[in-house]
Amino acid sequence: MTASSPKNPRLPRRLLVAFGMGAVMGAVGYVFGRTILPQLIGPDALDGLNLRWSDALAALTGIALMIGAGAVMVISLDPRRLARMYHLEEPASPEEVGQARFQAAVLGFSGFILLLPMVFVLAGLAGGMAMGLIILLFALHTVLNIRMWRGVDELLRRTTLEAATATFFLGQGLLFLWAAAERLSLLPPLTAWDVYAVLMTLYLFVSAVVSARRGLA
Amino acid sequence: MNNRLKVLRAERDWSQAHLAELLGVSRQTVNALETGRYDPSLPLAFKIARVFEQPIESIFSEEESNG
Repeated sequence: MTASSPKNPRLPRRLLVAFGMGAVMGAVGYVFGRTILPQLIGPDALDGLNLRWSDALAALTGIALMIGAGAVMVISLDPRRLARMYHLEEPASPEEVGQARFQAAVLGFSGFILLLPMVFVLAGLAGGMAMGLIILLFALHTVLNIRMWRGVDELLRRTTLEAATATFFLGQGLLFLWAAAERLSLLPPLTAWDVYAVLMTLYLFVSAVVSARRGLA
Repeated sequence: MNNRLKVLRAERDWSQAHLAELLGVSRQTVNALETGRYDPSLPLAFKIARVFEQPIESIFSEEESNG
């Protein structure tokens, strides 16, 4: 009996369900923001904040990252459930539980940092102080990412590299098409925040698919 | 790429955890290798061959092409 590399392994049902739930959450949030929210806080309350479509996209991605991290944290309370999630034969060891929680914490932290600029704008915090805090948290996030990279084996490193590569090619393709249309005065210019929100959303989507194909989700 | 990792491990009555420890990788990696979801790097393939005391080509083989 031999194992062979699947050419096009099917995505796990739970991942498809998660994508579906994300789409529903986004639609519900959009409808809520368009119809109910203006009635609650007043139709002009958000006018001065200069909110864009990329804020909604970044908020959805940031919240999805935090929900994903929370789900892993909850699952990790039961070593048998965690083992089932990773398709392992026996319950997860305390070390494996610890690693899963650390990875989930870094994931959730990524979502939190992504939300911060919008939270600061909504809270009316001063630019310089807010930026200083973001730089500090970004540095901490980078240290945690490096620590995670050094602590994992070649499977997770390969998965990360594949997700980054696919995100780059998809992202640069989209960016080129938009840039060309912008140069031809067919589309409005993008901000750095627009580009970053799309990049992070793409990365979340691609890394979920790549991880699932490697049996990691 | 095809591999006989699961058979070789079963023959020795090793757990995934034991094999993972011998190879210095996670159980997730052993599982991904056994289910064909991941092809190992060359250093890991050599390590697997050493652990099972078999040549690499008796553990891993190329997939037969349909054309």
